[in-house]
Amino acid sequence: MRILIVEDEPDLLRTLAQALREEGHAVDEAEDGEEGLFKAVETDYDAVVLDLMLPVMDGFEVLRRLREKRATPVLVLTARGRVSDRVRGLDLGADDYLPKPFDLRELCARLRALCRRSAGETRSEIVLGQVRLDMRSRTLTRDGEPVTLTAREYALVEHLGLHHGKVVTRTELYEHLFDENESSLSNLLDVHVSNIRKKLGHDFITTRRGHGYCIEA
Amino acid sequence: MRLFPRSIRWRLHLWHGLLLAVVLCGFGWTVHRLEWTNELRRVDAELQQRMNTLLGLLGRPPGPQGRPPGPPRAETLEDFFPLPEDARPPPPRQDRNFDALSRWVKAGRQQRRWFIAWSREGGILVAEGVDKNPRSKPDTTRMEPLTPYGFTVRAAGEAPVRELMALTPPGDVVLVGRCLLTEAAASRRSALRFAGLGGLVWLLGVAGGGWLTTRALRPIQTVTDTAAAISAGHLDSRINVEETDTELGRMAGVLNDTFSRLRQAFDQQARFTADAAHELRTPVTVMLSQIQLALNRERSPQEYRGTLDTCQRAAERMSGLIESLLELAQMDAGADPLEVTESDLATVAADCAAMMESLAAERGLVLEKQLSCAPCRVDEKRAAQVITNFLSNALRHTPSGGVVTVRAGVTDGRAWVSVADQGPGIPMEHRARLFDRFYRVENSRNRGSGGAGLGLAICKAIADAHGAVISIEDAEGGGSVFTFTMPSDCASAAS
Repeated sequence: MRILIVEDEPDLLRTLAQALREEGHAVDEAEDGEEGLFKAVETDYDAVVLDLMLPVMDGFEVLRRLREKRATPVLVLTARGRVSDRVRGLDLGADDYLPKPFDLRELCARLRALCRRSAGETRSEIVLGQVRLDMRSRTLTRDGEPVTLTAREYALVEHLGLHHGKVVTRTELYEHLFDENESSLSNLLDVHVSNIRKKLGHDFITTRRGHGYCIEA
Repeated sequence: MRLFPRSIRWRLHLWHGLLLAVVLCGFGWTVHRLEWTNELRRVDAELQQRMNTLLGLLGRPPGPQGRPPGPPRAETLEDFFPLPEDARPPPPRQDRNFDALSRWVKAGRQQRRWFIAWSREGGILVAEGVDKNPRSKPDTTRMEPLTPYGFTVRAAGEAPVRELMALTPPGDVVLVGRCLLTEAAASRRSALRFAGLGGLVWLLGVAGGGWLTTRALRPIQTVTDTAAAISAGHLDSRINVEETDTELGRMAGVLNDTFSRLRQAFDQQARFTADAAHELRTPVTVMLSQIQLALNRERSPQEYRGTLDTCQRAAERMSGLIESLLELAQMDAGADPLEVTESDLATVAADCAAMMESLAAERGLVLEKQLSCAPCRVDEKRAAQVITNFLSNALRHTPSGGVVTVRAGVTDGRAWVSVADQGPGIPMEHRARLFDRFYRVENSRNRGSGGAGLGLAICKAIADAHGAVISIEDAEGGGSVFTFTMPSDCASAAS
């Protein structure tokens, strides 16, 4: 999943980004509201982590303007634990709310839930034929046997799995799997797909020439 | 309403009732006495007339040159009747007009009237209508001829009697008396009437007073209700002030002001606490997430070092914040009194500038000093704190290569010290709130360059403690000037 973090505290921004990258997400960073809004509007993120107290443009304003353009799931992060702030944030279109200080595991779980919900899935397990995807432990089993995937491979399967039955374009996959700092070599995606096919069978992912990839199960 | 005493209402009722009762009783008693005195005067006049008649009948003239005796003098009975004596029956006096006397006596008897006449020797000349035991002749030594003496005698259980006594020039003593039965009864009736009327007036007075008290105290009840609502947490409640001109109206106005001030202070405190919590939460969040991330898996020593560095930064920030908060709290509570000494703001500023010199050099800035003597009575440590704060703000906001100027001097007998920067300046709309706790000009709210937003609040508190003023002006050619001006009465004699 590709996630944008908008946070003005550099140490916290760095920590969050590292934590989410280690979870296998592609992470973009923004240090102020303006930059955050620009990135959030430009790119189709799976989720945005937004601090409310931001320089230049505050979180509420970012949220309001983002909602005029996009329905990206937004998790609001704030040290202000007041009910009125929470209500205002949620009413402006935030999808979830996490008060500081928080637990990293909770943040990750909430982000997963946000992405699941936005893809129309409510359980944290996706069944694709013989393949089972456990989004909590980020593991994959085939006929009950665990299959080892790299983080990137898993993210690819997860994204296609969340949208199974639909064709996902290469552009969309690039957008959701690689962050802004990675040079998106066009054949990188093909390499990952071919590796996954080796592990899970050739028919697991179908290629629609000129369109993209699809898991049909 | 509570039934009894601890309320002002009841006390007022009580006192009002008591006072009214005392006034009514006093008034009633006085009127009653006056009435009785008038009655006695009337009776005395009547008795006087009888005495004159009697004197005439006894052949004693009413007085020299026919003058009627003056008004009776009241004396006590005992002055004239020392001891009972054996009395002889009166020897008949032939030269008296006994027919007329007996007729007169008969008429008097029917009206319960009596008389006695004593001869100079003490024998009873004539007596009628009195008890069987004839009374002895009164002591005449203190009596003056033809001056009547009146007295009222009250025997227990009987109606009072009134007697009038006079000494004739030859030395005889004449006493006429009558029973005051009808007068006493009338007086009793009038007393009862008075009591009844008084009671009625008292009841009316107490009822009216009660009504007035309740009316007068109703605003107090309103005030109490409002205060209770406020103490129950409804801080927005205010007393409904209808009669602003009355004492209670003014009191309500004053109370409303107080409530508003309280509300403000309360809000400010709440905001301050929320801000403090917020400012503390951020470094805590950094530490917690950094540590959780580090513990997620095995890390290299460099990564652990990085984690510890981050945590140290966060902890230092927290420590600084706690320090500032404590300082503010202490200053708010007045727990840390100023140590005012004769000193010179220029010297203090020079020390501060020397301390900041290396920091300025590190940021590629020039720290310029234009200090002239500015003697005043000030707490040097606190003044240094203010100047250092100004300086660090100036160094933070002036771009590299710029100049920060610190000046000191005396204008109009007021010592001042100022710091000018070449930063972006402070927009007008932010200046008023610049000294609020945790307030940061939005654009500078970047954690990289901004502090916690307490520095200027602390400066303001220090200035307030000194009675000094901090002002912000635009510097020539951009930037701002922060000036700390001491009050004029702080100027030292040396200046």
